[in-house]
Amino acid sequence: MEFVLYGFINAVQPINLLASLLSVAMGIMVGALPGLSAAMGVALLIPVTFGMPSETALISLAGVYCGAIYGGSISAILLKTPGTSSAAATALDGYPMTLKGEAGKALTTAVVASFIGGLISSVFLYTLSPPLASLALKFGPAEYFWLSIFGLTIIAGVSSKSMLKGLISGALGLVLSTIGMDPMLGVPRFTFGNNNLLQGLPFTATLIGLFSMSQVLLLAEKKIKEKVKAKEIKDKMALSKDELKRIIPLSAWSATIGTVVGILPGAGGTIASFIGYNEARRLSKQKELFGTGIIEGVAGPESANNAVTGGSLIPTLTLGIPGNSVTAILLGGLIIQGLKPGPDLFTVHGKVTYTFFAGFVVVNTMMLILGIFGAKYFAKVSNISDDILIPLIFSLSVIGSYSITNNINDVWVMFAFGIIGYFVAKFKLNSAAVVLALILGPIGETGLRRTLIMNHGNPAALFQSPISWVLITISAASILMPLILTVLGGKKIVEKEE
Amino acid sequence: MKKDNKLGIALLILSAVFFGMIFRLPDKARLYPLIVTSILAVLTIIHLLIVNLKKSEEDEKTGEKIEMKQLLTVIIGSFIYIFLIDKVGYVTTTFLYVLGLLIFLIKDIKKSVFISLAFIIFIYILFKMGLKVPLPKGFLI
Repeated sequence: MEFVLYGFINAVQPINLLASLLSVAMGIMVGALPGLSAAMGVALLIPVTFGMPSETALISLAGVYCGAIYGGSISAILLKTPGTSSAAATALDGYPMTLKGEAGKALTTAVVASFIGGLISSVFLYTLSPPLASLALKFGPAEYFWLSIFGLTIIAGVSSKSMLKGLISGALGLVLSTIGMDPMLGVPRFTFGNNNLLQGLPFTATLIGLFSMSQVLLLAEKKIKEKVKAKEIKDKMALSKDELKRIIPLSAWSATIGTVVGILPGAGGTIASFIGYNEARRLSKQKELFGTGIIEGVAGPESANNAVTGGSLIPTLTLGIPGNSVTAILLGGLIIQGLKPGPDLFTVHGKVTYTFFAGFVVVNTMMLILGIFGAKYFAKVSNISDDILIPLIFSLSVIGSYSITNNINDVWVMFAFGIIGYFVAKFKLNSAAVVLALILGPIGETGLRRTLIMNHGNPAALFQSPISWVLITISAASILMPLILTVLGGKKIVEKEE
Repeated sequence: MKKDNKLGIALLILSAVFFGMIFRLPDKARLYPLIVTSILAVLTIIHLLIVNLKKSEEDEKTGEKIEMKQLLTVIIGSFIYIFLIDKVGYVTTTFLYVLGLLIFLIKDIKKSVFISLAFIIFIYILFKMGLKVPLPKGFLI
């Protein structure tokens, strides 16, 4: 309780307020630009937050995350092009509203719903995180080994279009995670004689490559077209009391679902927003009006996808399993700040963590204010053309990957991973699974080898505790369930691909 | 060749490279890399089998054509940019890189000069003065 109060007081200090304001604004811009993703925004911001106090750094990263998820709705509503994939469902009713001349109302609905989504997910963040983190106290090396397997199988099984490709992505990440010093013996592995790789792949540079530079290449391979200009906002931004009554309870319900989806590793904003949309329709008395431009169709998905932000932080902070690429990057930011996910975050580092939680609430409030008063200006951002972004984002990627250790080698690593990330996208592999494996690989390896050393090489030790068996069961289920379902459905696995 | 075959072959080559290096490691350090690399190789082989045993389908037609010239210009330009950063200096190379690519992409010299100047000033203020990151220097800044 003491920490909670301290957190709120600390989070409204001028420096943290300023960080929230700027990061949310940056996030909204990143989100509103269809070429850029939330993951890219967070990856590029990590180097900037490097020198900041831990809590300010984390608040800034959360600000970009939340801002970007909301920002995606701006271009979904005005251009019918979702700025982030999680805003795809928002376009279903948001764009028809724009065509009816109600763009302002749609944007306000989106931000109010997003705010409710963020707020409700923060309630879960406060209440579920500490008990889940104390569960981690019961984890020994064997459990950590299975936890990393669990994280990988679930992301491969749930979030990939093709499970096999999801698993391949995870395995590729695991192989790459062995680059560097052997954690037990200190022998260099796969460093190609390069001393800079002894510490393993530089994490931030790798991330910036996978998520920023690869995006630059994906933009560069497309023919540059004249952009369709976003529609003017002609109506008022305000919602009537009656309209608020229509969306607030609905948003609260969608937000609860969104939070739960966010907690599950592997499922993310896109899935949540479609569930949110369907729930809005299911609960509505005027189902036939969905798709023609009604506020419920915007509120449902928007509150759900913003609720994912808080939900997805829960497994990230407590168990160190990020469920999507953005939280994987955020976890990287956490580690750079010298913080380790788990119970320590809520005791030893309680001040930082609860300031971050309170900051999460502040960030969502900033988003509401900026969304109501600034949506018109942010809408202009979505008109910026891709060709200008190409060199600018690349230069930012270069300075970003350089600035962590001031080493030009990290920039080359970023470049290499930019090319790898481009092919990962082209071959429809899952970049989130690659990153997750890079994080979980060392955890799993250390867990496995410690268990074996402690038990004189007897692998039976891996199967002794009940927690291990729970993790094994869920991991097996996450691989087998989709398989069984596809066999029952009479489809072949490969056909799951789009 | 099918896109999925290219992926499979690339991953098999990667696995082979890693296998080659694993056997140069001391005995005790071999096991874990051997396990993960084998997992990758086995999954890749399964993938190749599924893709090729399935009734031959036309490779999905990608919606948009790849602008090869544009993509290669960006990659090569970026490579040269990184190569020159610590020899010439960050500020100069970044300005020239952004300017060059912008002129190539938007073909509007005035606008390109304006954007690249504004950008480099922004970066200088943010990173050098704000975050105190020492920007790489060469014989120029």
